Amino acid sequence: MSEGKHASLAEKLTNDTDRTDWHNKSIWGVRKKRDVAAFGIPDWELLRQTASNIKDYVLDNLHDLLLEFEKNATENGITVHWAADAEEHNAIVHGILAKHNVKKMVKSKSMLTEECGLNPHLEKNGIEVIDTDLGERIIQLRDEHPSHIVMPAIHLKREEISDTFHESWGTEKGNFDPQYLAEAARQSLRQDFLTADAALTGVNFAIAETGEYVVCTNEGNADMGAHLAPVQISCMGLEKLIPKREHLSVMLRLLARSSTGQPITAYSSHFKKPRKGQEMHLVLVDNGRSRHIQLPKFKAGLKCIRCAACMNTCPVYRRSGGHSYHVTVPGPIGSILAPNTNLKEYSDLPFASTLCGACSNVCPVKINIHEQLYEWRQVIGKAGYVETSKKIGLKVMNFVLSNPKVYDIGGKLGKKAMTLMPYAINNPLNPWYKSREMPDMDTESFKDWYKKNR
Amino acid sequence: MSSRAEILDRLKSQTSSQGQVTLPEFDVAYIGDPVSKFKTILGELYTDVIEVNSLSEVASFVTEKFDGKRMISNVETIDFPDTANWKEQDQHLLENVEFALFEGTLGVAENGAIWISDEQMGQRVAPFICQRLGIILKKSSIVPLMQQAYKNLDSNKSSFGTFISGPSKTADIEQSLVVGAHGSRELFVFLM
Repeated sequence: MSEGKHASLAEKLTNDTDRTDWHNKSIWGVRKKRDVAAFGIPDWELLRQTASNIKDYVLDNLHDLLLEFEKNATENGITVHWAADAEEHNAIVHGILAKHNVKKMVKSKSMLTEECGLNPHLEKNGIEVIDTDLGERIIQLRDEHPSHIVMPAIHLKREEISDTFHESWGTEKGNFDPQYLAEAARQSLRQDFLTADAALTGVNFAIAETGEYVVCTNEGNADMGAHLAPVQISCMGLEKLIPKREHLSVMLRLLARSSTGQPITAYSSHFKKPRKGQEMHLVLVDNGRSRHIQLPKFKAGLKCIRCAACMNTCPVYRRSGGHSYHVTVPGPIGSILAPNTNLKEYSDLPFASTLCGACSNVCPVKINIHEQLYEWRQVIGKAGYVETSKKIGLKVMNFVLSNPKVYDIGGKLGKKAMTLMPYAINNPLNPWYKSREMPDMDTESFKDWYKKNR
Repeated sequence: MSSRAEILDRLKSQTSSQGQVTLPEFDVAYIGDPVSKFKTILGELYTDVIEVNSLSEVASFVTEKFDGKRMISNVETIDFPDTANWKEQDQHLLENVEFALFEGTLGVAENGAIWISDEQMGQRVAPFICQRLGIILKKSSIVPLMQQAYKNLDSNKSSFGTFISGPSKTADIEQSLVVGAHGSRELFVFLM
């Protein structure tokens, strides 16, 4: 992932005000669609509560549910693998592909394989990997990482995508009609689907009771890959399990509505048994999850169903962009998941929030995201990973606010300074002044006003 | 110790007793008439919903529209000219199918989703690889919510099944909706 911390990485976007506005508006549009979809259901809050209960049950019974799932999936003819970490996951997938002498694999969206760094691992081993979700294909051609978990190329403008397709596929230069570009991708990827030796998919939900799993797409790319290739591999984090098939009726009602405001995705495919002559593999991946679950304050983060509602609503995410989070899952949920894997590396992320709570309010499984962001700040403070400038600032603030005299004098001096030399505050060295206008100063303090008016 | 044993070992200590979640009965009243809601939603999802009285009406509609192009059907009594062996063919050879016709098990009013099992598909890839897709559905099979759908579906009946709700689509280029991503470009639902 890229070098640097959230605030400095965000400048890539925030330095361009028009682009920041464009990014903000485009993602806010998705949030609004989510609202329309959610308010269209009288039982929305009951659905959220039920989903939250189901996921709590899953986390409390993961051991038994995994065994039940493994047994049923195996009986269905699916080979189940267990991977402790990213390296083992990559080795398992590579092992399956090597056994079948796979030269080319098509892949539908899987944030887990992104988390594990699967593509570079396979490419190093001489296997061509084609991402088939349009957004993922775009960023793969540009050698970038996804900036959003549902809309991986949301940070790109159509002109940029047009240039990429022109360079990669020879599409007409300067033609940035989305219809034209998507058609070019359809034609190119169809050839990949038809010539792939294996297909890999992510997993939205796996059902313990039946040993099947569900993959949701709008494009139909997971199905095109899986039903054409002789070998299908699906990779899932341990927490994607749900106990019963009937629980899907709650999850599928919430997922697409929370995600894009659609009533359901175009395809919700239930994979249970391999078709005749096909081999099906499923890789269960831990990669820190079984340790994460042991932290009572942060355990609930594992309930996430990856809908992205929290990032779409987040005022910080919308203006800083997904890449500023320097981790696979960005936004509020990423900021509470990432510190579990590497506290020092991701110590900046829980601070990339206003703690406004919008994330928790839209979360379909009711994760207390903003409370966990606050909790992480305590943990990070104790571990000594708070940035020096922030630490000094907070110390000064603490000193001023706990000494009434200092506060009084400071306030008066500050007001004078603001009136006589506004540039002392309104200058580019002050990060608070970036993209903001300072308000006019009142001439009297609240204390003086109160004395006169009480 | 294997990774499996290690993972399970760590999870074992986290197991706590909590009652299995039973689902409440969700409000179905807001759906109103399931059939008309189903039609409205599918209309919003770029789908042509066509009411028919008989299978022969479907056959003539399709034949007229896609004459001269490759059509396949997995519906009993509707056979298109070259369909003889498509179910036994290598699935890659379905690439040139212009239109494919299937029966759906049930429809869901709240989201326009139609369940099709692999038995109904003939070949799993068929409803995805065809350029245009047709599904025949009985009005009496339309239920209000996903909850009723799963109650009516028998998981033992299929090795693969999918809910299809409209043609394939993408909004990955600047949020502009494009219909016809990788799967079918058009969906025709024939309501009987």
